[in-house]
Amino acid sequence: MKKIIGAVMLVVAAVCSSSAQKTTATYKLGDIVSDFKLKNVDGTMRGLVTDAGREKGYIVIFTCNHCPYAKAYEQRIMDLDKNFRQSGYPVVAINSNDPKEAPEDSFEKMAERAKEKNYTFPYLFDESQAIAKKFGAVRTPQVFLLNRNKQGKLELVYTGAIDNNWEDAAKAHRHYVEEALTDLSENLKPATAETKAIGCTIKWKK
Amino acid sequence: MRHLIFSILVLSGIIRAEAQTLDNYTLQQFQNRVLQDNDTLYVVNFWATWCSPCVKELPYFINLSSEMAQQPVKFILMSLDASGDGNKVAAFLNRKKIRLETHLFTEADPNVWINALEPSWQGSIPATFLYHKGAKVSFQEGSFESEKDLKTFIKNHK
Repeated sequence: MKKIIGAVMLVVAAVCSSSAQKTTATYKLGDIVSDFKLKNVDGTMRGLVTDAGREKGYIVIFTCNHCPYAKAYEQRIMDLDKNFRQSGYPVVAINSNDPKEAPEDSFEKMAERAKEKNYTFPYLFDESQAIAKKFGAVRTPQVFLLNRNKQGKLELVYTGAIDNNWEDAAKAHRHYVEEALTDLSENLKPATAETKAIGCTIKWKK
Repeated sequence: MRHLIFSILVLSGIIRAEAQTLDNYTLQQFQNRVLQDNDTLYVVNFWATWCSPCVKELPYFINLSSEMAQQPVKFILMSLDASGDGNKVAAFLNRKKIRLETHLFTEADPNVWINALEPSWQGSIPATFLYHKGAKVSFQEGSFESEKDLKTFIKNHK
């Protein structure tokens, strides 16, 4: 009986996911990503592209103020922007947490944090959570590396962690985002295109 | 002999939960603990003291552990707090009077151990596993809605 229920559930799940694909499919590796507009901590509305001629892609990072993992990675996120903005891959940070669930992640607190730490990258508030859903982001911090392909479209080429040691950057021996960017600079697809890490769950609206 | 080793493990687990600090647990130690060829169902919850949805659902595990005390069900908490935070976790457990067997999971490379435990796990916590007769029999990523919800999750595999 359990097997039958299991099989029925599988079929239902398959049907649901195939019908969902038309409207709310999340990006998969190799998919083309559409630009969007969200409120930045400086009060302006912006998305990914500011200078299509110079920007070869974007290091999109779902992060937030409150999560210990996000805090542990904050300096590394700032360093990624400093190190790769010039070569055409700026960081775009997005907070999608519901401030009702995580009060430290309100727009006001985001602005405070960005100012205090002198973020050199936009820190966008995904208030409706639609962008996190579109990207299929589940935790913070989580990276989605986008690369402009030959047709000029933004392609998702890497998703996952920044490196493989959240506690101590010096002890990380795999630097996934940097490795992916090195591969891209050599016109290769990232050899490691997907990684996993522990992170805080995105706090969805109830 | 196996019973003796088992008793020592159980006992050391209890001692750990009440001690001032927690021992680090590697992936190998974890697997040795939960992949055992006996009748016990292991209910393992990955959590951390700073994770609010995790802390919120801890009482479900504690209450069910009391309720199922006479059954071959063992509840184990695997803390994903920082590797140096054993004292902090122990203090938290003492403060909340949590007596469940608890270990600090400190295997280094998450991209390796997450996949080793469960390929579908995206890495968010809480996450709960059931192990029985040396195999993983169930997995859930995310919180339980209620104690009843957790109980159903466990009962479905007993």
